[in-house]
Amino acid sequence: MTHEKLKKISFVLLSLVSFMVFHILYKYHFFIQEQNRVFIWSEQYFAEYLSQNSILTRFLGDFLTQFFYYLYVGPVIAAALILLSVIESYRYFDKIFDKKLSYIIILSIEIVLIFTVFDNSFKIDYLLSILFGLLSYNIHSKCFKNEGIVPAVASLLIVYYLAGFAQIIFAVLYAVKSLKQKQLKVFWVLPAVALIIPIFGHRFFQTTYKNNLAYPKLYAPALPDSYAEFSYSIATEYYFKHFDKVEQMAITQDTMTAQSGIYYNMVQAQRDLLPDKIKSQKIPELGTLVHIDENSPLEAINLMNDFYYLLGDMAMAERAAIMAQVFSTENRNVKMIKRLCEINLVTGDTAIAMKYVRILEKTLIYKDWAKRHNPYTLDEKVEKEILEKRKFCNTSNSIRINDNCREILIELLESNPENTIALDYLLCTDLILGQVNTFKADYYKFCVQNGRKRLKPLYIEALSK
Amino acid sequence: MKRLYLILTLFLLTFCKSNPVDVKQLDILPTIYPDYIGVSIPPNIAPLNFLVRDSCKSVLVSVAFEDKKITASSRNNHVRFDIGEWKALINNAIGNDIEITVCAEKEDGEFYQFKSFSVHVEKDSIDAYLTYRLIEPDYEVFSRLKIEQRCIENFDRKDICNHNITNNSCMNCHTFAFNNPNTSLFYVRGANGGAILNRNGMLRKLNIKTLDMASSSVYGHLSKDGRYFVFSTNVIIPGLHADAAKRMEVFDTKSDVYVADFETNEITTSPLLSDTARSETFPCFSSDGRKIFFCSAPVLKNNVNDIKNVHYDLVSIDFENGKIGSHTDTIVKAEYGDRQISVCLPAVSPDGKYLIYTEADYGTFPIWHKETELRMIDLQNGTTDSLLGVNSRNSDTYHTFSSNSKWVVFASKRDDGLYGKPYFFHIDTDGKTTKPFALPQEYPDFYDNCLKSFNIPELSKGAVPFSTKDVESVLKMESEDFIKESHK
Repeated sequence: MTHEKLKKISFVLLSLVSFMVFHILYKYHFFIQEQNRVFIWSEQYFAEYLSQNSILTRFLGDFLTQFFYYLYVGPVIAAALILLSVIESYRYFDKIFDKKLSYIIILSIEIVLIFTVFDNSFKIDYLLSILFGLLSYNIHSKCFKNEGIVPAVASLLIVYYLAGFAQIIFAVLYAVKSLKQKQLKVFWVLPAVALIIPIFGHRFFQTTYKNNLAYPKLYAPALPDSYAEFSYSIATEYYFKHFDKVEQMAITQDTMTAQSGIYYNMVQAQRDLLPDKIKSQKIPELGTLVHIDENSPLEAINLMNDFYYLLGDMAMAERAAIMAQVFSTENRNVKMIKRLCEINLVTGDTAIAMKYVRILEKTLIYKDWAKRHNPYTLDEKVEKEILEKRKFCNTSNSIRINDNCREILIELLESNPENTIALDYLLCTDLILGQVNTFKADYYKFCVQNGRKRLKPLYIEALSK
Repeated sequence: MKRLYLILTLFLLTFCKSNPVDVKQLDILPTIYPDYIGVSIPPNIAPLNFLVRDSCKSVLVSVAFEDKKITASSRNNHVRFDIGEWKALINNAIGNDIEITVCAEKEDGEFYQFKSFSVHVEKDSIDAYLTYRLIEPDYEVFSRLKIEQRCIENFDRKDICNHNITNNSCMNCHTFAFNNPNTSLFYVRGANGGAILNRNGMLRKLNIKTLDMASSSVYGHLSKDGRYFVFSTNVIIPGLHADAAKRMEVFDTKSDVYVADFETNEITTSPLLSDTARSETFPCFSSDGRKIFFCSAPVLKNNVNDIKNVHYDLVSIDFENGKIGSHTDTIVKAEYGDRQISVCLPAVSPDGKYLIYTEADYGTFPIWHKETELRMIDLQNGTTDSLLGVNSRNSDTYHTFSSNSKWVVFASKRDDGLYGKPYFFHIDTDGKTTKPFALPQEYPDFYDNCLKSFNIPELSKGAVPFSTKDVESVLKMESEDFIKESHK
């Protein structure tokens, strides 16, 4: 086997390895990327892309990201784009430098690109822009043989409009080749133009020079963030109602994190096991004492949205869902659009539920979900769930200026004393705070007076103190 | 006419399977969105593109006036008119009705023609530019905000300020000096923020605050000559209703009214505008600048739920050459008979004839009150019009007049109860008003896809003479400070 073939095989092998690494270490990251935006098939939506630069890579990036919903697709696309970038790099560097140096450069590029995928805010637009920069230069070079500065500048402008920072790659490749060909009079021209274009970009795209230069976004190589991956994984499994998996994930941790503890207890609450399971936890995390605001991470906001929806407090669930929406990519989060639709179906606000249905009807992935949740043609199973949820809604007329969960739980129980989940959360919160007298008073008010004694060992033990 | 017939025939032959001769006449109106059925429009408005909500595979829509007709067709339910054809037709129809006919191909391949509806083209034009803030309908948190200006004669838009140049800070309260694009003001919050005053394109960054004020300015209004800015300072507390349908409640624990003089950089007030026992807010100048209208209520005490007992009066006070008057007049009393109301957001027409305010059951944040309605006072005879044909079952508020006082724009949540959109209505010389219509969009499904509210829509005669680049530059400058002047 020749050296050349070995080199090529090494690039492909590295891409395969990167695919496996992405899948094993980062599959939930890819899923969350998909959840954190929404791609809709609408002429109006497509036209929005035209108002910013990098239209092609942003559009393609968002288009491809919608398929990250499916397992393997995200890692496959990321690894494939890296491999294609390597192929285009090979086409360029192999002609310019000696074989050894070219191999080192290309291998370095591949490794750097792989590690940029580990950035927590990574978007696939970045890889598309890299690939487009390399590809467009190679096509340009083939057409114009690096001759004539005017066609090069024209190409640069097109590359900027279609792929943002890809123009810098184009300009650098042009400059390197010019230097190599000893065209010292022109080698600097394209990099200079590449730095000037974003100044004028301000006029059209109404953002800062820095943003215009790096659009859509540049990433630095990073190490895999296993903590974030775990956080995404437990939230995702809860989203798919894989409750056994959530439980398994939470208990296999050496120490439950606050987030995994809250998800674990939400699962137990739905199984009517919250008071039974809470005893075995060293520091039980219920979620009742968690406060969210504009400084909270998106994971916490998402989590609290699930939590309030479970309890039946639609006002707080909607607040958290809109908060998550606000802090998502382009302020559109498909999970939250679905949740907002559910919330408004529960509250009977048909007009607004229909708005979200209309958005989801225009997606490839969620159109069936939208059909099932259309308030005018509600699926039988969905309707049953919604009606069940509606029974436990907060019907109090109060105004809150904080997210004090005790008040919320009491209002929920006053609205419907049969809300066992809210009852368990109230009583368990009393106990983990060590407030036995409050627990007894709450137990008396919501269990004894209502004739709904809840004979769980944890409660019996606390009542006997 | 022959040409139109040819186009129509070609369309039907090209896109439709069935024979168009088989068109069935329906005696019902189509369901279209936005609802433009029976509305009145200014002659200079952009085409009223809309969606046909009735289930259909394709649509053909004709707009006719006398012997002139234009058509729009599509292979879905989107109706978009050619802007040139629209303008030509509308210019011929000024003062008359145009007739719109919707023909839809249903899923079964059959063609149905709905009952035609009319749209009245008023003689009065509307100011060409509309400025608004785009924000999620939850004012507690924000990200990627922008203040945008739209030419409503076509579909051009430009940002006045956006999150990219403000480091994602909050921005709000844009206001024009009675629709004058050369005199305007808006706020950018955050570390490098300030009030950005535009005078003929020259921007100044102002710190309109003195040490004793409860906050910087929140709600404000410029005098016609642009010299004075009357504003309120409000300590705002956001709250959340337990009842999800009511959503948010925002209230002030303290608010006062001040006047800033942009020539001397002085701020003045009066005990009548900053009474410690009362909350004064939502100030605005009369068109001649000789009165300040504002809302006033006893200060909220004790429990947050007491906001339901807080009702704001509409009050006025004289203002002349920078001097504040010595007594107030109550224009609308919050408590009358058995009913209690709360007045918010007064706005006076540039001709001084009308004052429109928002009426809610209680409190000071009408955008979240479903019962919120607009009311119009004839300042010449003191009568109040409850604007029955204008108001909806959801919140209608944040209104401003056009420079000719013939059109009003307001933010309405009538469509879904959550996302506010700009709606317009006409006032004729006798004070009669018309059914409001939504701001037309280039793509008819824009509002369906949009997840932002249009906040504080305000009309101006022209485009603002500055760009985001100018705002970015002025934000880097030091703010001009103001000093407090003793009561004049």
